[in-house]
Amino acid sequence: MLDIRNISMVYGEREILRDVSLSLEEKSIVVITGKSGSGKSTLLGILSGLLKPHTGTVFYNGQDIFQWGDFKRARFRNRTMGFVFQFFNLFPEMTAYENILYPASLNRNISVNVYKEIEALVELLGIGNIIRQYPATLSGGERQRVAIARAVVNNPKIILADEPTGNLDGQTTRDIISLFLRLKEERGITTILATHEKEFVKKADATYTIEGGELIKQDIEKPAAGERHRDRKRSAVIQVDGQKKSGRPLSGRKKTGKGKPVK
Amino acid sequence: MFRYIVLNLTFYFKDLSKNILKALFSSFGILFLISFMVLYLSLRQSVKDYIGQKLFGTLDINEIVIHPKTKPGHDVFASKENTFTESLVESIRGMKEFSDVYSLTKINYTTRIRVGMFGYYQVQRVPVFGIDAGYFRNRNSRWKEFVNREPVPVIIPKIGLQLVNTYTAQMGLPQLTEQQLVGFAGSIIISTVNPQGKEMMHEIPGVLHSLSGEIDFPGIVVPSTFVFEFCRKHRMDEGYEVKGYSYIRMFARVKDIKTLPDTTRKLERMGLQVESQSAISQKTNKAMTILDGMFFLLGAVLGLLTIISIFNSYLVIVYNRSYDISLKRVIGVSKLRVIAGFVFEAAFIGAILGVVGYFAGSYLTHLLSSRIAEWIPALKGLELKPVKENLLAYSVVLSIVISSCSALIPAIFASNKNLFRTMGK
Repeated sequence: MLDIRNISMVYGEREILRDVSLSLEEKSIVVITGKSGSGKSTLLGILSGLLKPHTGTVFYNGQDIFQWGDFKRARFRNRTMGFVFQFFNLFPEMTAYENILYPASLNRNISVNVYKEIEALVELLGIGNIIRQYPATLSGGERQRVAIARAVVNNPKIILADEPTGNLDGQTTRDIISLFLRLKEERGITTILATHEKEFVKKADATYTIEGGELIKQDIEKPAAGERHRDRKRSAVIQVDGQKKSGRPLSGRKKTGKGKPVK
Repeated sequence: MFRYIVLNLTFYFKDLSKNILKALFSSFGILFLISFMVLYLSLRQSVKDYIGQKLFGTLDINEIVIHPKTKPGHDVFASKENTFTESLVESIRGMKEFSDVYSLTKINYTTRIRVGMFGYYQVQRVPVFGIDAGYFRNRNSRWKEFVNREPVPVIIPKIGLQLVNTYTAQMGLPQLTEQQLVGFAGSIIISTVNPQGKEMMHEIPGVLHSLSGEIDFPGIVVPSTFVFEFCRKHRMDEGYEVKGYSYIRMFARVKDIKTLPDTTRKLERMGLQVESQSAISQKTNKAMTILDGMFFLLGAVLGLLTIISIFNSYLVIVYNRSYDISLKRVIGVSKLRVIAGFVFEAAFIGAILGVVGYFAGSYLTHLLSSRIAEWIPALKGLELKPVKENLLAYSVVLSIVISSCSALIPAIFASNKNLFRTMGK
């Protein structure tokens, strides 16, 4: 569905991304980890078509999105993608309902069903009681739910989420993770998450890390049902802010190079 | 599609309503520019009309006015010296270049008019002039009635109506309209001196024929045949023959407009002064060019300051709205739409200020009109009237254009706002 080929991105003299390639399948959750400033947000920006890489390109269903004009790319973002950010990024002077409606209003083919869709989303996300309030009066969890509703209102194929749980407490984080999983199962949405959240890593279909500008696939062994948490940790490879999580050696880590599948 | 348009307009106007005050203040310079433009155009038109109308009425393109040569500042109506001789009049009448020639004569005797109204009577000294009825052919619908008969038809300047109404106001009498004044009876009193040296008062009934905007001198106008007849009848009153009247101006219409310059030169060689529409136009154009130049310079400076101020203000507006714009770009708003949004907002604000500026300029014109005679006595006759033809539309269009163009570059900056670029850096 979405193919990134040989992307490189330079800011000044700093090479943020070097020869990054990635192929995204439908109905999957892909997690991208890495230190702060490693290039996770930049990669999401390139995937969205808002940042043009210095080399390489992005293909969507075989079409190079950077060959399109700005208008077509904007329409692609509106109809095919949804965005969720760490700091929620809602419009402060629109109510929660208006925030959700706004992306839908950009679609020329908007139908009367959009209102039903919003109702369904409101119910799914449990935000019916705060729908007419302004973002300033909402909690972090409520804002993020509104942001997710906004991201999903146009029935996108892909959600790009940049640290969606970075500002949330534990329980709310678990709720948000469940939501993303439900969106994958119920609506078939592919989610690309830039995150440090372990729970996302555990639930992801594929995990990558950005190190030194390179995208490296992580081979994460999913725990079998009933297996102890300790055993899982032994085999898991988790990069949290570029540091090892515990004193145990990182076993089971296979450095595969530039995004190539593990043999 | 309808739903799309309604939704987007709703979001757009909600956005606009949040920012309208800031945007209005940022574009305030347009208000001064448009007011200045309205005031200037009204002043320009009034000055042009004022210059053009200082002659005896509005001349057609093939008409000329011939004056005897006078020294500067010498009012021809006040002196018996600056007149045409009989032979000069005949020479001019005999020129084959002219299709029609009319003369303006003035009775040299002491003349008065007696008018009465609602039982009140007034006798006033006024000069009496005579002109051929044919002069009014294209100027007065009742020109054929302007012939020597009893009562004598009299034409007075339009200002006469104001004088009458001033008088009636003082006497507590009703104000009159032009239509009510026509047909008003009075009498012309001409004093002559008989051979015995006794002053003779000849009272001739008269009736108001019409009021004319083409009479630019104080006095009344009667048919020239009346003047000739009266003066012929009383030529021996002083014991010796006196003509009793003087030719003070001539009007002529050339047969072929192409001969006008040569005819003008010919008359000037005869020691006469000639005014034609082209001569008036040349003088008017010269004055207007100087006026235009001054105001264009002022207008250009004001315009430039306005554009710079709107440009700067919109840069600040774009900076303040960076977050909103960046987020909208992520969600799927195209660059063109961002630019169009800003330009439309600027155009909307410009339209409002254009309308306000037009009315402010019209008010200033009215204010200046009522004060100008007080401040500059030399311009006493100048009547400032707001120029009405399409000026409101031009004001709105101009302010829309200025506002939109000034906001265009900041709008382009806005369209390049990118949330991911900011986050990446």
